[in-house]
Amino acid sequence: MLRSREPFNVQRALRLALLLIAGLPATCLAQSLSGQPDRQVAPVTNITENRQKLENYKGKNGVLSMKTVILGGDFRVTTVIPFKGNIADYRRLEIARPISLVGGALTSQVSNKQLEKLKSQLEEKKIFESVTVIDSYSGATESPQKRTQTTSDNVRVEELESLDSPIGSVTDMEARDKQRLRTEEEPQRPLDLTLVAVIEVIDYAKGNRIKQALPLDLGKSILTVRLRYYDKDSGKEIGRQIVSGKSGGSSLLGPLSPRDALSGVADGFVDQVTRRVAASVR
Amino acid sequence: MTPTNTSARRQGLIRAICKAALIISSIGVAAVNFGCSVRSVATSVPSRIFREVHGLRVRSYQLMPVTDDLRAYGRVEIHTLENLMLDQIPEITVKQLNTEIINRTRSLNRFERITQVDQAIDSPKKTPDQSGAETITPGSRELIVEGSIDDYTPGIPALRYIEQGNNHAVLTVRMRLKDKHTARILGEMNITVENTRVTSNVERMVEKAADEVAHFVGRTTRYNTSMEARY
Repeated sequence: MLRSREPFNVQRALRLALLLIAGLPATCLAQSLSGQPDRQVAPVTNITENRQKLENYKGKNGVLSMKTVILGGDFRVTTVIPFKGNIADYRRLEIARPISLVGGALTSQVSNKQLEKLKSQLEEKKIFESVTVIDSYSGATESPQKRTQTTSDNVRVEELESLDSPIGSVTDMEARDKQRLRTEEEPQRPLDLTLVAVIEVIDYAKGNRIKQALPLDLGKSILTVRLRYYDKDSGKEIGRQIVSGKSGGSSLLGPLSPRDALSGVADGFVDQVTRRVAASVR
Repeated sequence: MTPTNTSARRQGLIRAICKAALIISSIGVAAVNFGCSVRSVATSVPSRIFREVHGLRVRSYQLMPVTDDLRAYGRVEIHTLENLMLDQIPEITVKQLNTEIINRTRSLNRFERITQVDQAIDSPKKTPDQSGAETITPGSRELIVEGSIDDYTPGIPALRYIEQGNNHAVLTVRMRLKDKHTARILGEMNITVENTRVTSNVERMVEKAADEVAHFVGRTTRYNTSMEARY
């Protein structure tokens, strides 16, 4: 009996395997076809949702708070040029590598560490579609290509719509009507601009944890940066701030605290950007 | 014994116990507070004293070391500092800083002519001891001292008393030395003055910053050895 059933079992298994083989590519194809647009749409909706969640965001007090009393790494922010425009229009952020105005005191290792910290903290917030690191940025030389293109398009449309333009054929008029309808029906999408943050290090002291342990107010870790915010398309400076972080071993954890000046500056920068985004949502 | 007497006694006992508990707990709290304050005084007094003595600190960074022999420069043109802090620094402080830099450079007795140039007007404001000779002789080369105010905060003195938070005052200036005829940058330095003293003020910090700028100018023009060799 068992021997006679064996071929049947093998046949069944083979059929199942064939079905699986035939079915898998189909499902994979279906996934690839249906999955691609989802992946494109998902970050946009997520960012909008994440930004909406910031409605009740209250900024951090970097000068004196429970966190700084216990862990240290306090920071101060001086706004030199307040943000111009609506930061909600900026969906991408580019951070330029820190420019050292302290000579050789700032090593590339520290610079990279700072950059990584800023990038990771901003990515965690998920308030920008992308956070990328660029080597350098000079606001004045950037060409406003995007805006020129849109304005030239607008000029062309205005030329065609003007009373002086020659009368077109019926097909031309129909095509224009359709185009007008399309533009009216299109939902108003938020502007897709890129914000560039340029970091200039104006004061840096690495600090010494052994000296911090002495009751002599020595060995403080200090980092002060000037942040210049640019609109990538226009190349205009839209904001300027000074963020300074300090860790001097005066917290409850003293020199054992894991936080340093870099943590303070990263917190300050992320907080300032988040505040602006939250304000634009409100 | 009547029931009213026993209830009254009970109430009295409870009151006595409550009083005793309150006294004991308040003594405990007072003892802990006293201990903490004694400990904080014991640990903070040395740092407070040290801060009052060494609270006005300077950190300077060479952005471009001076390698040329600057002894040939007999004249100096001091430009008013470019204010990158805009209205975050009081006008009076900027004025004080510019004036102090001129005064302290003059007190070096190193240059035969010192000219102040207001960058907004871009013309010499004050020209004492003008000789009128335009030909470049070894002693008549002119040095330009210019720079910018990169950071300023008056700090929070109240927080300095309780030794908490980011409370210190800071002034950062970036100074450049240039040859007037060739416009070549001869040296550049970043000077940060930090004030953590409770008793000190912004004026003292500004004076210190001006002093450091004058020292930088004086040092570089007094010797013929490079700055790198001296540090």
